Amino acid sequence: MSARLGVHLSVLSLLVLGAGCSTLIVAASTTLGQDTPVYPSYTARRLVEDKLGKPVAVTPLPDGGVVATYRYRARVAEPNAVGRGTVSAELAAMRLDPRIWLLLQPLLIPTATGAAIYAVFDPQYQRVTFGFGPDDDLLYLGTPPAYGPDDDALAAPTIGALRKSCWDGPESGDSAAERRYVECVTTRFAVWGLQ
Amino acid sequence: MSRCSVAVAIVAIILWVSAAWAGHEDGRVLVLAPPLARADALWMAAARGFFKDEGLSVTVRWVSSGREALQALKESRDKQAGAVAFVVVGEMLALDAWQSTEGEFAVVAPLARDADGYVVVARATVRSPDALRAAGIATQLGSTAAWVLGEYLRAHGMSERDVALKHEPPEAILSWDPAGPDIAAFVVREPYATRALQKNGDAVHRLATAKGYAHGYLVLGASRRYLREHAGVAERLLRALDRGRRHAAEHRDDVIAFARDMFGTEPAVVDADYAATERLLGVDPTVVSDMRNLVHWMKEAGLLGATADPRTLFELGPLRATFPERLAADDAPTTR
Repeated sequence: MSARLGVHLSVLSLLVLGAGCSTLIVAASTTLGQDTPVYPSYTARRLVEDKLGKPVAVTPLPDGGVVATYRYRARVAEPNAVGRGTVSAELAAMRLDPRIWLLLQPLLIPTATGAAIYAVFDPQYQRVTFGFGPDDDLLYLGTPPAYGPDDDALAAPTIGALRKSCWDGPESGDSAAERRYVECVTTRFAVWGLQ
Repeated sequence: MSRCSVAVAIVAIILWVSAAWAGHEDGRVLVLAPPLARADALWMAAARGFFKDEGLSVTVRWVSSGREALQALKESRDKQAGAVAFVVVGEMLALDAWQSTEGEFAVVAPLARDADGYVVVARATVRSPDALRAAGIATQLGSTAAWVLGEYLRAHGMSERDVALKHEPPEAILSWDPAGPDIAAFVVREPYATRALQKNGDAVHRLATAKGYAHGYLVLGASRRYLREHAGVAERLLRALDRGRRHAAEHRDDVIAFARDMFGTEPAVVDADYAATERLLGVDPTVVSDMRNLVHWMKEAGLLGATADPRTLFELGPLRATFPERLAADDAPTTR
């Protein structure tokens, strides 16, 4: 009796361990590669290429800089469809009947493992573009900005600040100073479109 | 050799190496500038190797906002990598930076200006400046276009108090209904005026440009500390920019090609700005007059302190050393 229980427990442990491992293997495929690489401005091109390798395309710019495009292995957010299906089947079988789940293990574990191995050998690649200056310092995440007339505007002071800046501290009852104040505030409000 | 001789030799070597290193450091210059044809002197100086001819290794980082350039300049104090030496910004931002840094930021030279690029686009029935009285006028408040409008109104005996100003970004002109009751005119920078005229046909017209009233400027600025600590760099930069200025003026096709290859720009867009640009690298009486008017307007708008004295906005030492003939006798803007 105890020997039989021991065998059952051993089989159960192996299956649980196997199922856990296969789930981990499926999940592990999402940790390979990297997110979109970002480097601080003025990083040397050499450091970028130490991480990303040689560019797949280089376009010289007329100011002496270059735009370089790199290929990198992208991190895949989710396991592939087979991996996801295997994990879903594990959960569904467990909810339905633990015995069915046990029976399915010999099928699911190799499937999950195969899906994970396939994910490792079927990497997803993305491209990222950086712009470097004539000294090979990183200037742009992407390409240089588009041509554009930019009429930088200054922000309007607050109403309180507009009023305060008109107030030159006249004594109470100084009607000339009060008139100057009203003129000043009226003009400033008009300039900022305040009715 | 005595110990004393060895010590003197070591000190001499250290001084020589330090001087050589300082010279090398001074040769590397980072300039932040907008991707505009008005800065084509910079484009051509970079593309034609004029900076190298002056012994400078100049990197120009193109930034789409002058505010971003000034922020980078502010943050680059004491930085080694990415320390910004010069910025190219509009005249209004330059004055604002000068005020907010209590005079530490200075304008080394105006690079270029443009009047035709600022346009008053009015509905067809508005045929004179006087017809704008009490009417709604849209513009980007706090911008050069708003200052241009102020000068235009003043030149015709009015002020902002005689109209109803409305804050609208320039692209709003493209969805403007000229037949609507609220807005009789827009004051915008090109290419928005041309696009609005194309879109609305005879319903609108070009009432005026800034010509005769004001100019929008691009100026070269730096911190006074940088100029003090890197004597001679600004002069070399100005000489290279002057060659770039002359090359740009004489080689339109090179400017168009630079914009196409650098920014992927359609030639027609650059061509309009190229034609309207007046390349300066100097302080002429018009600069003095415009700055005086701008200071007055900014004080009226509450953007400059009443006691601010902008005579120290310019740091003209490098320009005086390089092109003394390009300084107006009254080369400092003063309040009017």
